[in-house]
Amino acid sequence: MSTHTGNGSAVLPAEPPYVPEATLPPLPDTIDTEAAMATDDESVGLAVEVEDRPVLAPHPGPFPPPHRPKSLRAGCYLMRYTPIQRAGALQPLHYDGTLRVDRLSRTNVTASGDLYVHQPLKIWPGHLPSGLIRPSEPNPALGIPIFARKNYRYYMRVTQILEGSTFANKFTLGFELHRFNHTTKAWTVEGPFTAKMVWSAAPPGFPSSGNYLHGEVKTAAGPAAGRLTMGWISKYLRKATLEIDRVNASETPLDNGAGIDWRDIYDAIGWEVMLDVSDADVNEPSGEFWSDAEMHAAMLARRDAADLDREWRFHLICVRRLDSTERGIMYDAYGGDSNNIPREGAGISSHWTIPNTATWGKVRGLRFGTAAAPYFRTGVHEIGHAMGLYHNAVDNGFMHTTPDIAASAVPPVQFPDNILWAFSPDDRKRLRHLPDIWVRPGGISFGAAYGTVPISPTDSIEEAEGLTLTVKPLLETVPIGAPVRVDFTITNETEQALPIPASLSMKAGAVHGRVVDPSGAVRTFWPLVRCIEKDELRELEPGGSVTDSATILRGAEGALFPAPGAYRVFVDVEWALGEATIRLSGDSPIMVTPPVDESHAAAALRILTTPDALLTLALGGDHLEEGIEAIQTALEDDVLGPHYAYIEAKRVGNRFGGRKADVDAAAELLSEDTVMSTRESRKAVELLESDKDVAGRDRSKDLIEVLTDRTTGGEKKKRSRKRAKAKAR
Amino acid sequence: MEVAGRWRKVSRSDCSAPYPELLELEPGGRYTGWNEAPSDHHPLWDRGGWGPAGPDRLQISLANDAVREYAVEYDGDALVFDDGAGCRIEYVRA
Repeated sequence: MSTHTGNGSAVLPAEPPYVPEATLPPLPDTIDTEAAMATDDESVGLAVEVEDRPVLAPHPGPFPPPHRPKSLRAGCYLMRYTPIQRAGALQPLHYDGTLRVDRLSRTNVTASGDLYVHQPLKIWPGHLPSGLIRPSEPNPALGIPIFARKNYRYYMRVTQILEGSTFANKFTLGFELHRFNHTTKAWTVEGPFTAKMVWSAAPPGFPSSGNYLHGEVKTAAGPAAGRLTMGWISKYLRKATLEIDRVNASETPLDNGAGIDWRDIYDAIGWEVMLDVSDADVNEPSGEFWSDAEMHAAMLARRDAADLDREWRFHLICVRRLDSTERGIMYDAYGGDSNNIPREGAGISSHWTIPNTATWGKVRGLRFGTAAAPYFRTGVHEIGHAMGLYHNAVDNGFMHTTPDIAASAVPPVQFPDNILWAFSPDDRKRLRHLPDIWVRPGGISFGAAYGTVPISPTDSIEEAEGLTLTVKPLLETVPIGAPVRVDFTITNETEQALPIPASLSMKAGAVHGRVVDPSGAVRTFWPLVRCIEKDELRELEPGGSVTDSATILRGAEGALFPAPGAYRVFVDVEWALGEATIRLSGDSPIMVTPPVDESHAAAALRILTTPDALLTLALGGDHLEEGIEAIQTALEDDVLGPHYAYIEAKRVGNRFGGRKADVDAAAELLSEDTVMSTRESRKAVELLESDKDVAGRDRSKDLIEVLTDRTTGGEKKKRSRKRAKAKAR
Repeated sequence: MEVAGRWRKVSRSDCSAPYPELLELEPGGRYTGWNEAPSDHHPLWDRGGWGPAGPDRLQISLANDAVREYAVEYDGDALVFDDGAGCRIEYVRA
């Protein structure tokens, strides 16, 4: 067990300082927003559509309208910035672009944008009455627009989004504009700017009438600089197409063989990617092996579309073997780019033979194209390079190198089961928020450094000085298939009362966490259900502590403990305090043991492969038949039975639909051997005491006493003994 | 050649700028390259595999996963790569 104290130290390693006029502007910081977002967006990231927001009409009366927290809807906005025209300017000018709003949690948002110049083109006098051609405006009804690369001008680094938590129908947007020089590839900072953005009705064509804003842009010194409008157009942040061509003998990498495909991967980073599985008969110009130049030529000859100013099209070619490497390459770089348009394509090899050594685990000796998981992963990895990403060893995600992932597998987990099917958090942020010109095909050449650009720390998250969070598992060793129960305790080590969340229940929303498996892969767990009115706080007295529990089984990435081995469970408690977000973290090791017999193995497999088992665990009820059946299988097993008895007791002991609560049946399921967290023990006592007949039985009385002792640390028994002694005297 | 270990770049030529300031060649055939100071270049050798490619030749994978061969000179404390295009990248043991 270890403890993380909030001593104000940085969560992430120190970043190098940002150097102005470097190769890339700094990414936007994660911005702490003012409002609690519970009313309209309790999800994380982009997973949940937010309902259209009604526009508040100006209030006519003397009293303000009722409190209504407002927040920016996550997704992509069509943006227009119209600077105040310079004196003497002959042509009107504005910039079009997109603004990406990315919610990390209820109170944190990262936003960034890109602006492309929109200027009428001069034509020969006399051809048109005005002498100008006016380019068409992007149509908001068509989703995320694609602009011509030559018109790229500014990266908008959003530094402040103070969304109103009051009755205001506006918020302050703070930003810098980083102008891109196409010749030197350098960036120059302009600003900072602020804009009071006001919600208003969207013009026709916008898909979400209530998510349109406008505002006057001002410089730091105060003078007006222009006008900004932004209207929501998509839940995605960016849009691209991936075309896959192949030679006849090669496989098309469509998914990882276990249900994860291209769409899943790009959805997770907020990219709307259209998959174009195209030619399957690309000719081999010189036999089995392909040079970089041959792949580049095949891309130019065979791809279905080539206008990168109308479509971000990446190209993947699948060939038998590669001249310059074994598995895959993003050939459109370092001299392999014959048309001087960088990062358009990549190639992978289907006929490389995976070494027949233990390192390569379950795919040892296979032809690469037949090993679905690593073959598909290599395709994602190479297209990641085409999107401007470099190798990243922070986890076993997509931009780590395949041999290193294979070598990191810790038995009994074998490669490729230890692949993390996600981009690492910093790469995810890069794909969402690096400038368009960095990630789009045909933009900045591969090889420029993110280097001088500090990846924004989550600097709006503050460690809670004076508070500690300790995590203690109920059992340090659990059999595979069992949920893991942890108690976590916040302690105030100062001499003054400190604010903490009023409830540490998972449902209250402040608690979430992650599990690191034996190979280093990270899986997260979040509240399945949130019951939030608002972020209520309470004061924790000096020296005081408060404990709660979590029972965890599955997370967003599937089963949290899918194989035997040593895990580490991290619990994070996060809450809003004013404009800051406070966080505490603690962790503890857990050992998951292998199945002891066939019954245990079968029950564990059923639990681990039934997503509804978690829902049944968290929600109870009779509606999730598969979940209930999986838990029944576990109950019938001697090893797992005690770990699931309370879950079933909770289900049958509570009313559901027309079925009455059966406390009697619940009591039969429970015993002193039932594995229960502190919270579950407390709930079990409440359940037993809810039926006087059941509570009055000797067996129940004994059980209630034992469970009460567990939840109070034996204090009640000690007091009882003291009273008995006093009486005896 | 026992070239495994940590190396520091001493070349300051423009052509050597994309190569990492520090290079850790692991005995198992994997390597990591990185810069300590801000640079306009992402290291051409950032992470991947390396190994012998014949007498006085090494192969190293690049940041885009290509594998490139280099003629090398090695004297125990110095390691010089020749990229075949006129650029020499000199390292000393760190």
